[in-house]
Amino acid sequence: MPCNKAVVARQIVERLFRDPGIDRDIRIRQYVDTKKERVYLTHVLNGPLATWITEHTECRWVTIKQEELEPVVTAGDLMDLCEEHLV
Amino acid sequence: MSPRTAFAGIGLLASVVASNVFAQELPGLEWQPLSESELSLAFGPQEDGGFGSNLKADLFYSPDQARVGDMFAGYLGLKGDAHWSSADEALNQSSLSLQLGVWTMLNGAGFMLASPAVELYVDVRQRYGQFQDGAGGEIENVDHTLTGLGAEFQVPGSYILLNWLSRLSKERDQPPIISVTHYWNRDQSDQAQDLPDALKADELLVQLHGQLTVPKLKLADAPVRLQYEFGFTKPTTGNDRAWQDFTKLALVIDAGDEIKPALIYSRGEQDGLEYDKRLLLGLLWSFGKSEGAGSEEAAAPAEPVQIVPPVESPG
Repeated sequence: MPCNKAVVARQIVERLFRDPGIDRDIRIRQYVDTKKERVYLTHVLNGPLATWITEHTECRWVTIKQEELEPVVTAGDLMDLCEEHLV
Repeated sequence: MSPRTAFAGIGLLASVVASNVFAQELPGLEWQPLSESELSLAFGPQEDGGFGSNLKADLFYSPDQARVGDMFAGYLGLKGDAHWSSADEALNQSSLSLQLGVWTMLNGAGFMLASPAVELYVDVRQRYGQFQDGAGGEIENVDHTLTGLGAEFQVPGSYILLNWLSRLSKERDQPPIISVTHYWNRDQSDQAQDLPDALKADELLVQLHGQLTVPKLKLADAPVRLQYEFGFTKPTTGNDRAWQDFTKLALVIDAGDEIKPALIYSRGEQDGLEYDKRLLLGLLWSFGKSEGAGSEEAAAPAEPVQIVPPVESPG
């Protein structure tokens, strides 16, 4: 079964915020606007979430750098970024 | 204003400038301001008819070199708070505080962004101030040091409230934070003073603080944030061990700039000192935050460097 990137990317963001059905246009800037938050988010994405993706989906996760999170403003931006890191 | 209060205020401003120069001019160290870094200057009327002002700084820096893997990071905090009032027999107080700590993450235990970090810290606080020894008593100067040990963490389960509010405000706020610190008090006034028990005692300080975006309210097309801080102090030695409480609320117009206008209300007692009830107009200067390019200007993705876990080659 192929990796459905859009679906998995949404699931990632929903798990991050524990918010099933989170709207794409909700601003999440407060979670990425300092280096401390970006380091933390990068660690979560490359760590436990990458493991979850491997174990529960058909996708694989390409590691992300904290600098890539700097332009993120909304939940939709983060979904799009996550989609680019799924293979 | 007492000379020491003025000295503390000037010292506070100097420390802000110095710390920013320090952070920018020593690139080898790569000190980064943390999200909590903020300077505020506020002034306005008080309940007693006087004119009050407050200068407050919370500066936190974390050097990259202090990180152990991605799980632990050290930080240095410099905090200052100076109050001044024009009222007769006003109680002017100031404090300077140096904080050393580490923060770590709990995601390995099943936490996600709802409860990401715990901080542990040592806090040394030098406090100068004036206090009234009992109702109608004489105003005396205080000079003493508090040494504290504490922990700070985000309120578990707060994501439920944040999820609900984000649907109204279209903004996902950070979870509220609880800090618990125990201070040991050492009086080093020049002359022995008959200080009240509450001031002489060791104490436990519990604080809850955070920020909420006010739903459906915009001023000048900018969202309005409610910053809240509730403090509860309980002496752990001495005769009087009653809880004291302190409240500070600020409505901040956040247009995305580093400097934001704010309306600040504060009242109550903290650390054995009573603060005048006041409503101040102020400016908040938040730094260490990047603007973000926005959805339309999202940067191109960086070159992928690794797949987690590595995909096996066919054959």
